[in-house]
Amino acid sequence: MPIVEVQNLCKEYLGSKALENVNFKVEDGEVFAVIGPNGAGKTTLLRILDFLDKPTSGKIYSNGVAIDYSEKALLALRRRIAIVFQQTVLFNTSVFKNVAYGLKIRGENKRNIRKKVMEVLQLVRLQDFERKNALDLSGGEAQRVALAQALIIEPELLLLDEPTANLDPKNVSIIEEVLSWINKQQKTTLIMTTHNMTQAQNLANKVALLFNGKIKKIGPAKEIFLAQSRYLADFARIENIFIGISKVTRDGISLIEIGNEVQIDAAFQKSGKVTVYVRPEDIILSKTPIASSARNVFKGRIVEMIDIGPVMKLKVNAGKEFVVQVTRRSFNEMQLNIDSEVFLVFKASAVQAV
Amino acid sequence: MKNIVKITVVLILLVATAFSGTLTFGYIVQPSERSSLAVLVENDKNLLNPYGVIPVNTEKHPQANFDLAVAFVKFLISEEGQNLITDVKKDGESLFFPFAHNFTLAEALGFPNQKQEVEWYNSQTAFNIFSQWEPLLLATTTSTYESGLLDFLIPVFERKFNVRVYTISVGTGQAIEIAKRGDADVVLVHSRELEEAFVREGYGVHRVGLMYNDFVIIGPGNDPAGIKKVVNATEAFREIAEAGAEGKALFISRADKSGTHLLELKMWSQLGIQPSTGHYAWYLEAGASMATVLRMSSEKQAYTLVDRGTWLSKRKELSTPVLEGFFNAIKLIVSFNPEVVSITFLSLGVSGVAVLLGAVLSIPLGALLGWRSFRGKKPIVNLVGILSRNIVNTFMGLPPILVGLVVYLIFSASGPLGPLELLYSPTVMIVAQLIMVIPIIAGITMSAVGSVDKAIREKALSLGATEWQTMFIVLREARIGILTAMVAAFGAAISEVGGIMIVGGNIRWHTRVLTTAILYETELGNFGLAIALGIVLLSLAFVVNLILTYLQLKGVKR
Repeated sequence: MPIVEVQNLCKEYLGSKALENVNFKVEDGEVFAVIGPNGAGKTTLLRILDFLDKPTSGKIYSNGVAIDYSEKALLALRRRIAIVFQQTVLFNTSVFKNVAYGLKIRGENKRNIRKKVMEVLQLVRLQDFERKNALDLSGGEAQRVALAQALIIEPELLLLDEPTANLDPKNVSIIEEVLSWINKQQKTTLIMTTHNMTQAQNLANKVALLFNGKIKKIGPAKEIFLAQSRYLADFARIENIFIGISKVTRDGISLIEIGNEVQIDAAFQKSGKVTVYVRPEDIILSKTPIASSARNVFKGRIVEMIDIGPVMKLKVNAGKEFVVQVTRRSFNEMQLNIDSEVFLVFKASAVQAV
Repeated sequence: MKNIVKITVVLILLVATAFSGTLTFGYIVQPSERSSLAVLVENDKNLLNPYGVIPVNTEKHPQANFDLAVAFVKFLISEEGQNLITDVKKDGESLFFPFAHNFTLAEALGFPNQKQEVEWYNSQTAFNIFSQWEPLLLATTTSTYESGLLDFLIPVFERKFNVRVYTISVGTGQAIEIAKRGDADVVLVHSRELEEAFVREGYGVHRVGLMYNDFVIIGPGNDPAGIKKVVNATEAFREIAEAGAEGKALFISRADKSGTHLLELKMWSQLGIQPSTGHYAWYLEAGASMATVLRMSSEKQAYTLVDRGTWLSKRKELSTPVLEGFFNAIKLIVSFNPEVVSITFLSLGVSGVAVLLGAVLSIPLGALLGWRSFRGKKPIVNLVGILSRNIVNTFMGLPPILVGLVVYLIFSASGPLGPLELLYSPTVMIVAQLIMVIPIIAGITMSAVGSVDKAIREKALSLGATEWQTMFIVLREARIGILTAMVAAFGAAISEVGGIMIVGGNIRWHTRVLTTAILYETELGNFGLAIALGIVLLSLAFVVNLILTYLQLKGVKR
């Protein structure tokens, strides 16, 4: 019997569809990865599975039993499920109390709590951190505490919303090891969302591709990865994704209005409503406008910087937000900072339609 | 750390400014540059001022402590009491002249039944045992307190009968109003008309004459209206009005329904002058105590009518430089003056208890209202939530004096909670401050709870917390905001003056707190004590704000 089964799940927010006719089954002990770009509806799906949100329509079965949304039933269900959010949330108190919380509210005795907190902190390799205030930790350490918080209640189902997004490689590998260990040793079922392909490939045995609230493909991980490798690689890493109205010009290229008076030139010929993306590595970043054959040049300001080891991800607001990648070395040489003015350059052929 | 440095610098600058200001002010304002006030008209039979004493009638107000009131009057008209009255002296001169047993004089002064009343009191059997928990509430005029008479009489009476006397000193008219509502047991005032009406309407019984003092007309020593040469007080008033019309003189009226005010009005009406119409630029209506009016007269070089007792005890202070007041203040503080200490502790106690009780009541209220903003499922629940949040926010700006007025009316003897007999007690002061701090604590708690990240609540829920457990963790996350709420409420409560004045009555040793004492002592011209209390209040506010800053610095960590 599947631990979770979802039938015709729909969720609407203010009239727009966040999820549309989603169907899947997750068996006990499986690792189910939902892959999709930002805004595909992954977080919405996980919130519904943790019963933090109610679906607009559709059914959810837990161990074969349909969910009725009474407070009492929800409490009982939530006590068997844990979730790790993408945005790390911790209580403003010590690491120990943070991790102990789930057991404390279940009325566990102090000696057991202490023993289990220590075990679980050891598991996420934070054994000396119990006295620290949780808000003083680095991003990676905080996310590991959040994981420990979820693990201590020994959930039968663990939901993970992009658990390693924006973390450095060391923290990513610790978290992945822990996830793999609890799935193999404790037979915990995992449902995770990610856009990290390697992660999905390493951990998952079932994969769904979610796009615009709809499941595009679903199946055993091996099949999906074998058949779809190129498509999948692009799909999962889609970051600069824009929806706009395209017009084909006489020279055979397309002009796409993507809002905020931003216009992109694309090498394909398509008119009407299109969804396009530009890979971050295809965008060149410079401090001054450079003469080139590239058709797309935008001026903008850096609004966010994410450190992922040797590479820096930058969010640039140029009317619309673009994500670009630069190596740490060029980043330092160019003396970039938040609010620095920069130019974005990419070729019309770098613009891909979905 | 930076903030602490900033605070220190600002504080040093502030103290330096205040100190240099005091120095300059103290030296520049030389009292001798002006014509100092002097007695210009005295020893006029129109200016004799008899005091009557009347217990409150138990038929109107059954809760009045009639037995103790009778004992008090009996004490005042006894030989011992009458001798004590003569002993109240200033600069070797008696301030009051007892006449309880001089029936002829009493009749001339407006007490035709003096003989019968004295006999009635003498026929009352001796009262010796009184409950210590039922103090005597005496409503009297400011003149009896300001002259030092009460400080002289009351301790003797209290020791004799082992009881407490609480004194409310206001104008005669107000004292009688208070007694009419049943908020006093006995009145000691000076206005024949009001006293007789008080008895006639059945509020008081056994009006008996006690003593008299006399009034004098004072004014600037150079006497611009030239009243020194006239023969009686009425003529003097006419001269003042005439000089006033020419713009050469000013007259300051108490304008507070006090006996002094009523006497003054009587004299104007004998002259056919109605000064209280706003048409006369020379006639200033102060609405203040005698000491304040004396100071105003000195500052504005004006004429006024004053009882000799207050004049004798206050005339020196009129020329006291401010600097001296400052040094007196320091002396009072470093010597742990018992009155300053008692006032400080009462302030801390009343405001502290009000804030603690307020916290118990309004943290759950604020939490509930803040919590609702998380949820809001049904529109009707939402509407009620929005309305109650608006109400709380509105009441955060509630004027304390309005709270004081409402609480006063409720707890007044003729009000709905009158039978509790709590008016003029620290308890009712706590009640008034409680009403003031509840919206403050609830309001800040509400926004603190409302601004806790929604994710915290979801985190707790997802870890299996019940709704109560979730609410508790949200409250814990909002703890800095809640502490801030309590500190802010305490700061507001301890520095509030209007409300606590009305309901507490500013009774010495009993309900006098820092703010009411500062107000009162300033009115009396006791600048030393006023400044000392001001320094204490400022220090308390400083400590409170230091705590607040510390909490906020700690909160920045988030």
